[in-house]
Amino acid sequence: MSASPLRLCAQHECEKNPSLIKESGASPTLREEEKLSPASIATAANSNNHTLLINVGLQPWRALRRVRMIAVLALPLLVFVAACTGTNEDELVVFAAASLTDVLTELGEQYGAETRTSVIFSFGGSQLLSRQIVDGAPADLMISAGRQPIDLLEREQVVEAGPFDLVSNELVVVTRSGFSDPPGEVADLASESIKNLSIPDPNLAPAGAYARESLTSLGLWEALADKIVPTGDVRASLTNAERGNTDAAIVYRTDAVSGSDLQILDIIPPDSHSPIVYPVVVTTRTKRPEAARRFAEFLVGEAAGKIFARYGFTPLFNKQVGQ
Amino acid sequence: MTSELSLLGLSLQVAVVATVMNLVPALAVSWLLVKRRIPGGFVLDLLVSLPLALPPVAIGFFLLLLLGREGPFGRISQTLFGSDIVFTWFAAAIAAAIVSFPLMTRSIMVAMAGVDQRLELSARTLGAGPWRVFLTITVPLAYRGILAGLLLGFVRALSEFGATIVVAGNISGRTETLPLAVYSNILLGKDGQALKLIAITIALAVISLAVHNWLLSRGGHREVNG
Amino acid sequence: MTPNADGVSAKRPGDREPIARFHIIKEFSGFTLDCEAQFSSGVTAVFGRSGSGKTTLLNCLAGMVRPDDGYIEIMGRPVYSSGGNSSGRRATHLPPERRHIGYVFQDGMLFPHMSVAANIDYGHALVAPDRRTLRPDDVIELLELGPLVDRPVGGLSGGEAQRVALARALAASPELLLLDEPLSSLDAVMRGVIIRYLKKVWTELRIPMVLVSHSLSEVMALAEDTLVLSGGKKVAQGPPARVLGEPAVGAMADYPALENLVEAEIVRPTEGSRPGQILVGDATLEAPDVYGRIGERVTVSIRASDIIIATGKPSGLSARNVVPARLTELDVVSGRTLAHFDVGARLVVEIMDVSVREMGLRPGSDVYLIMKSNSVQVLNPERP
Repeated sequence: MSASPLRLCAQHECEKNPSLIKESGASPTLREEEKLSPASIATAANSNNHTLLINVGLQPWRALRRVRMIAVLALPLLVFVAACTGTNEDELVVFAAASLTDVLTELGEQYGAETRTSVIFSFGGSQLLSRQIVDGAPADLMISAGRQPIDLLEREQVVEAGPFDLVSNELVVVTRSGFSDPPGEVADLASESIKNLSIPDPNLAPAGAYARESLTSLGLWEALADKIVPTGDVRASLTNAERGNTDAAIVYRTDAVSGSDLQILDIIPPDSHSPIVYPVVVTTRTKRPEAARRFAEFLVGEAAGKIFARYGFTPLFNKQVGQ
Repeated sequence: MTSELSLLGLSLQVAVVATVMNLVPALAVSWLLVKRRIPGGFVLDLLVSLPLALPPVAIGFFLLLLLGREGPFGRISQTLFGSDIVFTWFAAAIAAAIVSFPLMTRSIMVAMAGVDQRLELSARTLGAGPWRVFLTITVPLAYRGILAGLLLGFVRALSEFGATIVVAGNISGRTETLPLAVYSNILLGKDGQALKLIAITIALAVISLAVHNWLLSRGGHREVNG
Repeated sequence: MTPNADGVSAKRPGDREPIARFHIIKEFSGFTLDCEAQFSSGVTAVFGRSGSGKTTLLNCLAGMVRPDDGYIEIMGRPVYSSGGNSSGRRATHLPPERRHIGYVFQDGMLFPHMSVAANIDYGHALVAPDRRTLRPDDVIELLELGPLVDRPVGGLSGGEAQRVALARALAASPELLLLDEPLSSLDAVMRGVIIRYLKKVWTELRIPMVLVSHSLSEVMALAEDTLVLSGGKKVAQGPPARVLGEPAVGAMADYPALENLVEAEIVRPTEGSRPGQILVGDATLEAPDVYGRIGERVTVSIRASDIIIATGKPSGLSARNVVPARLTELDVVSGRTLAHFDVGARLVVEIMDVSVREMGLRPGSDVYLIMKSNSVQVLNPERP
């Protein structure tokens, strides 16, 4: 090899002492790890020395080592600062019961299109949601399934306005569409044509609790005891009826509407159970109480009422909201 | 429901921020435990591993106590910035960071331990202080393993659910990450949508894990022994 | 102090203050290192069997291990003290980076993610300009590393890696160089090569060295002073030739394997079937594998048991090498006798007691040393 050895020369020494540069024409190489001579690159390419080639390729990456180090350390700080620059305040945040997911999503889109105030939702179990609001969740409004979750909010004094009942729901009996002998009235549930009846477990789902309340007040609970098949949630009861696993099921009208291949039987008297209502409150967390109220007013208006009805809810057109 | 793209975007944002926040502490803790061998290291190791052993909802609960309006950090945030930490995407990031910290740290510890201590001692005898040794010897030689650890942490942060839902809630567009969206869809019986989201999650995980395994298989530098 | 020819004292380390002065106590489970000694020579060897504590001693000097008690002074500077009341010293423990002590590991321990040049430059860049005594250029030249400078560290052979490690340590301008078994992981030829370079560190750079070895041959070849450790305790200290005869050493030394590793100059290289010639001290010896240039210095290995002594000049022998020599010393140890001879260089010969008595050998005797040319092994890697 005719290539002459490269000389090393630490930066300060080269500057102080040019005579240290013994190579003709070669400028002082400072940190050898940053640069490789053309001769050695050629050698590397010829020798199939992969390590060296990778080293060559990584030179600029290594040279930026300091920059990378600083970037990596600074990033968390930047991120933290960015995070603390607050949330988007042009939006309304609405916490709502999971059962209202589809209808409220549509209503939210419509409202957003009409007024250019966007509404974002957090759907979940009502109890959990009110707990979160108490803990500081930034909800402008909450729409609950039932009164009880609102009680928590009232106790903790986070209610700015309300509660106002928005809509209500009803219990219905469903059978699959091909069922030959559907019950004509609620007492028929006890007859032999209905071998089993699926309801949501009263201990687990509010719908089940209402169903039990209704059947008990109608004096049918004992008679139906053997026939009742409890399920973990409303959806499962609905599915049982759809598939014919059970002859019939008791579900909310809103669930029945979303099912397929069903006969819906409106035979359960509404006064046999406590009202199934969905109250709305404006919380003290809101920074835009007027905007929140306007949305609530929209929800009790005509247009919203039609959409609610399509999903199986009973709109209440509550006048209190406007006051 | 929020679009898949915005879910993906938020999930990535939360996971990336969580991973970035973890990087420096993970490096520091690993160095302390592996190279410095501080007294009381046993306790530190225990603390670092704790989130692995606790149910994520429990971690979320503790975070709620610390970061909530009544908690120490929540109050600081209120005073300094006038806003809460809880129920924001940042809280989700913090939750994801805590939950993924042990995985990241353990991987990084293994990577650092794989750097022969005699290399570091050689550098010390050549005049390099502990900090310089860390930057010029330990990290460059362990960087593949460190990256792999980062990826592992990232993957875990992406899939974080239990702590997130407690401390950040499930607010669409702000804290609704992919795992939370999957959960909501399952609850509502929207199996098709749930599966779609799960598929996206799997795709992300597969890519990350593939890169992770590739990094580890490269093995880094062999020692020179002639 | 040793006066030179002018009668003026030659300056050597140890004249002003010893290179190292220490009392190191370190306890492990089942073993305690407790050694008090002083090093004043250019090249000191720490000799002992594996597990005798020699590497621990070295690591304490370097600052990698903290003793349990005692003190360490390097070039008069206290680098460690437990601060006990009796010592009158403050508790100190200088970390390695502040001790200015170089260290070469047995396996080189080159940084695999840097090139050879970057390795060498690593310590040099960290030295304060006013403390710099060596430039990387000089070190590279001294150790003949020019062609290797751009190479990545992964492709180096054992001997090359060891030289680079040496260069790296020297480039940091150390005041003292420590070496842990520098020759143990090398083959015979490489050992010979590295021995020459190690000698240069003292003869040309004047950097004192302390090296750890379990090979008496290496110790004899390199060191002026030897500290012998056994079970963590010092059992002997002195010039290797003298220490060779100590009973404590006799118990642990592998005499049959004892080699004379001496420096020689090529007089005439091997050509075809004609053996080459080398000059050892004043003696010209023939050897089969002499490769290199005339005048080149090489290391030669002659086993102590391969040399035969004759009181009169023999004739009609197949052995090619018959050289006159004067016996300088006799050591009887472990049932063996080691006879030291001066041929301009020191050669040690192993001989039976009976022969010594029958031949009437005593210090001052003039004899002839007989060696087959095969017994003279030139340790030079250059082979055409």
